[in-house]
Amino acid sequence: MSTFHTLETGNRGLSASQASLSTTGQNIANANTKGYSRQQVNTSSSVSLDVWTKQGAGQLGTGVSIDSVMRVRDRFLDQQYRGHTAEFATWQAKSEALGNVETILGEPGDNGLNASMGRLWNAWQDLESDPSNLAVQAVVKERAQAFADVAKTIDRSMGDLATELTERTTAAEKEAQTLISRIEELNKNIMRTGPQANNLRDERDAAVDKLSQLMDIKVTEKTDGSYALTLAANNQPVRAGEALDPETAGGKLGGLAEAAATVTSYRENINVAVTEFAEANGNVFENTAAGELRVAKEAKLELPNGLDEDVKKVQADFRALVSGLGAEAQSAGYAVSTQQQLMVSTENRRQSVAGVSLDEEMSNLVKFQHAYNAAARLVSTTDEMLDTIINRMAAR
Amino acid sequence: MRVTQQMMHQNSVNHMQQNLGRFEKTNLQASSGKLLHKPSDDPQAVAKSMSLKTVMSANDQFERNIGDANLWLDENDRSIQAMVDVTQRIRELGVQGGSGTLSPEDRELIFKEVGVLNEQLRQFANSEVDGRYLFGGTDGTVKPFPTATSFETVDVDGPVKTAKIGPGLQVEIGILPQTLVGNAEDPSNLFRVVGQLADSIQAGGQVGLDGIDEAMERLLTAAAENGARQNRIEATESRILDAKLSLGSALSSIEDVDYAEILIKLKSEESIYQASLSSSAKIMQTNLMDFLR
Repeated sequence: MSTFHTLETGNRGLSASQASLSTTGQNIANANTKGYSRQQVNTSSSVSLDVWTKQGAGQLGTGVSIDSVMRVRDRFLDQQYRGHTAEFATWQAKSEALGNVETILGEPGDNGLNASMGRLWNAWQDLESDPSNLAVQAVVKERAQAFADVAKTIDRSMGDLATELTERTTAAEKEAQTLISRIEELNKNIMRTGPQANNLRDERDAAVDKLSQLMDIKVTEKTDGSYALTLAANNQPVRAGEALDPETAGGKLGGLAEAAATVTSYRENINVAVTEFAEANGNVFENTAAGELRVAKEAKLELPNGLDEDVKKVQADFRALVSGLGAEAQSAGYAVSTQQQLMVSTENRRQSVAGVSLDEEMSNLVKFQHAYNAAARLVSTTDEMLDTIINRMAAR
Repeated sequence: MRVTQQMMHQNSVNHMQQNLGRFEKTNLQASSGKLLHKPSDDPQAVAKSMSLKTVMSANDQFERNIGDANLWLDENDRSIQAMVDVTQRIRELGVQGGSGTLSPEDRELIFKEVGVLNEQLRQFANSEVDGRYLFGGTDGTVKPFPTATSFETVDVDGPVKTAKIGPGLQVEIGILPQTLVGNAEDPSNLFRVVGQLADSIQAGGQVGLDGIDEAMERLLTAAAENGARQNRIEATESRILDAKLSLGSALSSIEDVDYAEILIKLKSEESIYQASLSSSAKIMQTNLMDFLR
């Protein structure tokens, strides 16, 4: 057994405690960093020395060695969280779009299509009682113009909404591409640095979290430490520079694409109702195409045949459309809040594993400080012993 | 389960947001007085409210139509009554003129009076209301008897003027002139009969009263029919007024806010929000560092 053996043990104890203290400091400093996973120093006893004892071969401990500084993270919880985030983003996009459609339609209200259809029908009734009265004819034309104005405004707003959704889809695609390239870059760096590249891994996980808002992806970690990304819908690999198809992508991309399709279909249905109503109103409209309703200003108006039944039918169809929209928007709203709850609860579990608890770090600080003090004490005790041997044994 | 500071902070923020969101929604309902702002608030209620509003608006229109119809029918009644009175007077003159004790000059006077009354009948038949001829066909633009002899040749075309007083409910409010005075070829046409009566008086001798009695009968029948229509419209009008009340209260029960309920809800949302604020404040402040020296 060497003379300085205990000194070395003390030395190792000091380093291990220092490393632990420093890591605790790192955790405390990053307590509020988004996406940070707490780091732990894993230590184990260092390789023992063989010594001869009366009872056979003995093992004399040589102190502590630092195995690794690893982050504490549960990748299964990560995967769950990403799935929920993608679902949430899809429903969020759809719910927002449906809410916009509701605002554009403005039902129930006194300024929407339903009310203006009713007012025009009333004007026709006045005309029926007094067919040759020019003033009444003028009122019918005015009410028809009012209806045309409302219908045109609605049509234009729906068109603008659909365009906006398409533009947002493109922007989201660009963002996703940027994130995918970043993840591949980080993959390369992590492969070079090795399995303990804690900060780079945290960065990569944060990028994957952001990406999973935009697309529904699955992540597998390969043995060389890199992440392989695949689409959750069809297991196609996702690589930088390849085009993204919003339909299979899911997440916000998929949600925006579906929302754009829904808005376009509602626009068409509303236009069908508008055209049917215009046609039921006979000769007061000279052009019944929904986008270009025009009132025949010069025509002498006659009560159209079957006005009552036709208008009743159009109004019933329109009510069904509004009802359908309301139901769809309502269930999208419920889905959004359900998914949000799931996201929140998964994030809590993630934080429970990987988050920094200041109370815990405080007590760790005390723990490692004592260990450091004790190791230092060991060093000074050994120092005194060596002092006796070196300076006072057979000193001259 | 391990609890970290970020978790507690995030949860506190989420709960405060949720409570504030609910508070805000209740506030919106209370200040606008309406439960339904968008179709997604309650899709079925919105459809029902739209349909009720449509029916109520149609009822308002029917009320207006009934007002117009009442005006028309009242005018009909007045004109027919006036014609009946004149015809009665002509009949009296006919009785007087048929007595054998009159001198030719007296007969001439009576003849002239009958002529004036005939002209009066023609004027009543040409009555106008609101710029339209009361007995002037479908839209009231045709003058029934422009000249003294037009009754011999012209029958005004139908159909009669109608009013819509309910969904699919048309009621006739106009009267064709031939319903009142008879067709152009009818021997008992009122003007023909009066003319004949006047000629008989002037010529002396027997004055036939059967013709004028038939004409009078016709007028009274028309008056009775008109009266029946007035009753029918009155009944519909009171039904519509009742319907207005019940539809209005149905709409209100779907759309409107019950103020007592909503104010209580508002108060309770407010206290929930305050509770979440105060508990968040307590949680976020203490940790171990306060106790380590």
